[in-house]
Amino acid sequence: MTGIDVAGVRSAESVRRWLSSRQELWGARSNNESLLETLTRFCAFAGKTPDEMVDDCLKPGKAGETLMLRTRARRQYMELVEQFEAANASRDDGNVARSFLIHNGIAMNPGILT
Amino acid sequence: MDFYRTVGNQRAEQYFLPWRPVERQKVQVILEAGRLASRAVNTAFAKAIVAYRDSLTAAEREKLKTPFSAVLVDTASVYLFWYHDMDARRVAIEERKWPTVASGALVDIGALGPPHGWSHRYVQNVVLPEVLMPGLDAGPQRGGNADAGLAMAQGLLAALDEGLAACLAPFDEAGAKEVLRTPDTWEPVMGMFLGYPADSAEAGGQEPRPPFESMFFEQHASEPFARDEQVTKRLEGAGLIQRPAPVPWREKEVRAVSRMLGLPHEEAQP
Repeated sequence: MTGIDVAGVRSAESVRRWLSSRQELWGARSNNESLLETLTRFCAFAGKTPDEMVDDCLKPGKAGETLMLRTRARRQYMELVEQFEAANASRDDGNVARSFLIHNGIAMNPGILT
Repeated sequence: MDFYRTVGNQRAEQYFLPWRPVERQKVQVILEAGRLASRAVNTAFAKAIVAYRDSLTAAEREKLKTPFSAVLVDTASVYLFWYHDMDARRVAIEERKWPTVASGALVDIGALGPPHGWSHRYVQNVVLPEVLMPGLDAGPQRGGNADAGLAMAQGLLAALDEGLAACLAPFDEAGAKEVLRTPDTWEPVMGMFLGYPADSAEAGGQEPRPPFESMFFEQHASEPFARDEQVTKRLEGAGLIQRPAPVPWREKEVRAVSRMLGLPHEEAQP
């Protein structure tokens, strides 16, 4: 990954898919600029672009449009999100990263807060 | 009726009043309860056909009988034939006519969503090809289905709550296929025979069961789940746990009911 900024994140296909899916589910007001800022920080933390992260976790199946979930990669990203959350002391930041991955088809199941 | 008492009143009823019909409205209640039973991926695995004894010919009734259900077929006024639709998963995936996991509707209504890690893309591009579609090529598979059984169980409780008596028993699959014209992809679950009871509400007492601790365990399979006697007493008071069979007068009741219905009965020798 080369240097990444909010503009680069915004233009990624996976980010457009994320925002569109969020809007469809929760309405237009669910999206705001701070989401992109947080995701950009997560990308820097992971050392990956948004599309690279999704490609790490999903590989195309034999039938064209279908996707196979890479179990090990998904688990690594779940741990990475937890580290990002801890480093920022912010559950909300972690959930932004999870939201991005979830809406791209990568199931995330963090433990609940107790 | 109170829920606990309804559960406690469950009997495999063997003696129906053959001349007393079951109201069609009550049959609908049973079906409504079954329709709302819990089911995997919200798919309609359970199917049921209602048949009325007096609308069938004697020859058709004979085709439905097994040794377990012969008297029930003759005396119960309504039969519900419960089936597992082996094709339901394929229909849910390929036709997407109903709100199932495959249709994506469960994400739309907020039943499964981002809090559980689910999204439309996850359903359409991962769950469908990886979880729901594998095995479809093999065609319909027999082997029962818990969800169809759950629908039947929920319908059974509704029947009791409506004041009916019921008995679950197997029916002749080939005969039923001929009489009821069921698709090849429907696998029988059980017949639910319905009517008004010819014997008393206690009907011989609650059917015996193995000891609670021999059936249920805690943490691991070698540790029986120990009953709390206070809970047991509360359930006795609520009618869930009732006097076990047989009640002292059961033998006389069976003879009297058998005589009334013209069934074989053995009189006590003088």
